[in-house]
Amino acid sequence: MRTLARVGIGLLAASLLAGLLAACGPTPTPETVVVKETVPVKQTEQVVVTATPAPKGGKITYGLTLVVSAIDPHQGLSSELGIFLTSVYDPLVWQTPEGKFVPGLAERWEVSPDGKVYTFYLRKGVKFHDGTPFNAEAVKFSLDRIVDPNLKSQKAINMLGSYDHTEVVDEYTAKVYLKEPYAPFLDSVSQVYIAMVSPTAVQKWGADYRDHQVGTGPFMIKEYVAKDHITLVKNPDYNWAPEFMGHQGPAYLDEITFRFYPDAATRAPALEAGEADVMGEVPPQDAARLQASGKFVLMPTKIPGQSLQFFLNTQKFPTDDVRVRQAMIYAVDREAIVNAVFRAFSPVAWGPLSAATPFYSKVVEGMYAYDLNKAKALIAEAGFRDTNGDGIVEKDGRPAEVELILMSWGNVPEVGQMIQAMLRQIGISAKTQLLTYPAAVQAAREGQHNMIPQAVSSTDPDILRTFFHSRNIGAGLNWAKFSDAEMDQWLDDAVRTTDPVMRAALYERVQKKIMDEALIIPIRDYVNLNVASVRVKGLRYSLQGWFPWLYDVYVEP
Amino acid sequence: MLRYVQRRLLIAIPVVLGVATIAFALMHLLPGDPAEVMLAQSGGQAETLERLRHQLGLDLPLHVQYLRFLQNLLRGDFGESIWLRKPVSQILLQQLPATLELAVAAMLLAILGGVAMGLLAALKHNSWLDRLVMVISSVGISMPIFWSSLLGIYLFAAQLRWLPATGQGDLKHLILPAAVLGYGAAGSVARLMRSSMLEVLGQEYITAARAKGLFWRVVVMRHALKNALIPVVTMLGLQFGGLLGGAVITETVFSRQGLGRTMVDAIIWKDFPLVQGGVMLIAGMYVLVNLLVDISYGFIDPRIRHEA
Amino acid sequence: MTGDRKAAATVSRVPSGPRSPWAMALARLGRSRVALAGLAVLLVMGLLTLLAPWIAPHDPLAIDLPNQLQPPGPGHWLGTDLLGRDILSRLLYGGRATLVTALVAVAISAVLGVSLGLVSGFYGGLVDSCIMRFVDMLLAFPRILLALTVVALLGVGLGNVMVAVGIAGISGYARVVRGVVLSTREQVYVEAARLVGCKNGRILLRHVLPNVLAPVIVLATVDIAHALLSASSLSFLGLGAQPPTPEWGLMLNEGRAYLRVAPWVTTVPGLTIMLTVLSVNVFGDGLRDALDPRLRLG
Repeated sequence: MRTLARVGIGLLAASLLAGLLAACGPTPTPETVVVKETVPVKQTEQVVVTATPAPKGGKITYGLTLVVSAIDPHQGLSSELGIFLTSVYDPLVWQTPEGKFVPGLAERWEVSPDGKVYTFYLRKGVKFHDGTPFNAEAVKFSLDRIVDPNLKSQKAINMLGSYDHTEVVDEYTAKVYLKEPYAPFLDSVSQVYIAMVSPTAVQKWGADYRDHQVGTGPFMIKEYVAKDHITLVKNPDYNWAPEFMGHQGPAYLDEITFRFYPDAATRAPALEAGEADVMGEVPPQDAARLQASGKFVLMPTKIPGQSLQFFLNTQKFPTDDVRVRQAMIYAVDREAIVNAVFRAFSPVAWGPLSAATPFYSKVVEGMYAYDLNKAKALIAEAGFRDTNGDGIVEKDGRPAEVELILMSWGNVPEVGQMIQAMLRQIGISAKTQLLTYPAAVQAAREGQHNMIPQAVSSTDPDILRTFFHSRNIGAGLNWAKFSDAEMDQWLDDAVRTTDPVMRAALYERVQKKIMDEALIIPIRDYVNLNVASVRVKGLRYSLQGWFPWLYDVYVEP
Repeated sequence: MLRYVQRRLLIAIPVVLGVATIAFALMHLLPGDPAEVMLAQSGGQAETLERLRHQLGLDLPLHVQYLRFLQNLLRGDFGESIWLRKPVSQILLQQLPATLELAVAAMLLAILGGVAMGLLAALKHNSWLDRLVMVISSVGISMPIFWSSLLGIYLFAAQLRWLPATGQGDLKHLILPAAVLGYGAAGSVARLMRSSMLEVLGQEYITAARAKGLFWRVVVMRHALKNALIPVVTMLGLQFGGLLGGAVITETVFSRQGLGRTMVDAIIWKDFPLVQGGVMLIAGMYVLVNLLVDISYGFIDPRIRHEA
Repeated sequence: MTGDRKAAATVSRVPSGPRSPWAMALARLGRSRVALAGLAVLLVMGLLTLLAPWIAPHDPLAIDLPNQLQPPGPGHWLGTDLLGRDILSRLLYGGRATLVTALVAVAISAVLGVSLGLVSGFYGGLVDSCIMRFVDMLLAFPRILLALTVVALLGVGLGNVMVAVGIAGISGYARVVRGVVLSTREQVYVEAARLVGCKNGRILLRHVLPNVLAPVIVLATVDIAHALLSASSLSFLGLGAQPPTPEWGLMLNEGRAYLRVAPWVTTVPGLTIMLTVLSVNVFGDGLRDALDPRLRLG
């Protein structure tokens, strides 16, 4: 029941560009482009310098929220699978917490000038957990597996963009051909969904591979019991950690058990009872309390992608009037919401992307700061008056009533009730409707809503194409039902160019346009409240925000 | 006896099939489409929707989907879960033991606690003990299970640290959820046991036995208990279904795997094949348990016989 | 026992008789102090709920953020919730939603269940088999799952919860009523009525229905407790009452994430639900003993 909205990470980032930006010297548009290096400040706090010679090790239990989806990374779409599989599979290319692409299973790589061919030169001497050597054949096998229609991939296939085929040049060289340039491709292959799987194991297990997954990572799957737990054990042969990790050789921990805590109310008790050592998505009230106890460390991790936002349906009265939409944003006191519901752990959101997202633009900051008078003025300007004195404004005899669809993830019901009360102050009556996720998605497609929440995480702003391109009205996810040829063009151009400066400029225009047209009410940047026992050392989170790097982790005796 | 069992099992087949068909119809009438949900969660483009729908077989006409479902059923194939990507039978077999473990433990607690409490109350009729039992059992049947679960976690796990709050595996993990689940059922059992025992104790043959000078306890155990148990056993059969229902909530709150939680998730997330399979399994179990209950009458009271 | 029933059936149409079984039942009920206490609690609760607009100290929907999660105290006798709303006021207003939902759900179960049971028992044969198989199916479907499915089908909301819980509860009535009808059908006076030429409908209404009244009343009373719990469970699972509507199950659900920091948010509605269900149960017990001391419904 918890959000899966943020589960899908969508189509991903092009941060080769961040590297390029750095190489170009001063950032071209320093005022507006947030370079990835500035993003994960909090995430690096836990880095431990490996100085103590004492043997490190131990076992930990890591608390996850709900698994709804398949756990084969090529098949499934949940972010939970990434939380444990990040330790089982190595990517071709790693992305550092600063957003730089550095060698992983590929020692180096080249991109053709037209952006359609990626050549990966692979690391030698890497072996899968089952002893199968990792080579160009394995790369081809893994990528081809994802696009095989029989596999029914839900997410990975989208992330490969217009993947065409892979050519095995020699044992350690693989050339990947795309039909069209796809800017997020390198970001995609840095993610767990494009995992390099052991061809031997897949052939051996067939459809049952999901229960017998074999990667090259620092940990191996020992056991998986659906909806209960997953146990990983150390891979003793691991010797190919990326350089930005804290050490080399096998991981410290002997065993990691992942358990599921779908009920948010039980997460803090599980930590306090010592049943779990690390827990994601702890409710804000508990997080503050646990941190104050001194026995736990709170690690708020920013999630790039969409901010928590409510789409405003531009094709339904009264949100079909841009002035009404603008008035609604002005009337919603985001700071009050963030303080009351999220205990100020989340920053207020200003635009469609959270500030941690590559190519986030600061132009949206300060737009629509809470201002009731402006809101009321806009409502009046749009021709709404309260003619019958019931506190609700009308236009041509039609009262300003909005359908506010709520779902039970991410504190949306509480946020929705606050929004309802705030809109009431400018004479808009919001009718709340709490729906199951599937019912809400259907209602959104059919356009029954005036307002509906969404928050999908992603490390590439291409996610904006999904939600604001006119092609995605109807069957797709353009729930604002907004159509603008110019914006479509910007979005299409931005995914085809590999020039970061150009992308930055295009996405800045898109973000400004979305807010000018008041297509969404942004609420807060998504922050995952991870809490760990003080005994757990060396824990870091990847750029995606959900996925922990457990390789450097050890337990202080 | 055998023919009776055969007949009962034959009657069960249309019931189970009917339940499956209702489940099929309901699931397809429910708003929402799993392919759309996948799209929304993966943030995909509109054109991927058709591919997802085709993969799930949702682009076929409804009657074709139903026929396929029946065809597969005949071959013993319950289909593949949309979300877990595993054969439904495999998931159910994996989840069933956890729920049975919980339900059986709760049932045992309910029987032991309930029968003992009811017996005590009846033997000490109108004493303070009787009243205490009535209060304890009335509170038991009146506690919303979702609240008693939270209270249990708060008290015994978070505050006192006696028992683990969540998860499963060993006996320690089982105690709290089973106790919460069993407490409600124990209340019903105790109340029924008490009234049933009081009634039996008032009957003439018991008075006669007492007059004959048989030791009081022997009288109670041999004669009264047997007769008093019959209605209790009947109720246990009905309670079992209630326990499965209660497991839905207990499993969610205690973060346990199991059939109940699996089914709730499946219904909410529109995992058709899993709902259909799960509902058939639960219906089948219900039929079986009640058959066992009916058969057990014969052991408790040989006068009850089952003719075909 | 059957003689009693016959008497009840005849006399119930002449309620003035000083020693009518209904009057005797009432007298018996009057002697049960526990049952009367239960009834008193229910009446007080009903009254408070009805008077909510006049006696509630605050607006149940008024959000007051500076006062969020206040413990019980002078300003807010039962504390406030996450959005600073007064829990006592929400409890009073919430009683309406909660109690009405339970009552309507039971009415739906009783009406549909009694009809099915009457028809099934009276006509027998194929009709009986079909109806009873249907009832078996309903029984085989765990009640909460059935309600969950119906709610998922009809959409979330209290109205649909009433229907869902109502449908899920049909089977109990149908089975009990069918049993009573089967035994009544063979009674001499029913035979007589048939011989005299009474139509089936008339026999059902005038001779059979009165006999099922006592068990149905008892069953319905106990069922209110079940319905209350089921409806609250659905709200607890996020499928019942719509926020910001106050409803006890929903209030409990809203507070569970703050159980450790603000236990009163869940404890208050939890205790209220328990007290209500408890009162219904003890009153139901008394009523059962009074109406028919030998009636056993578990």
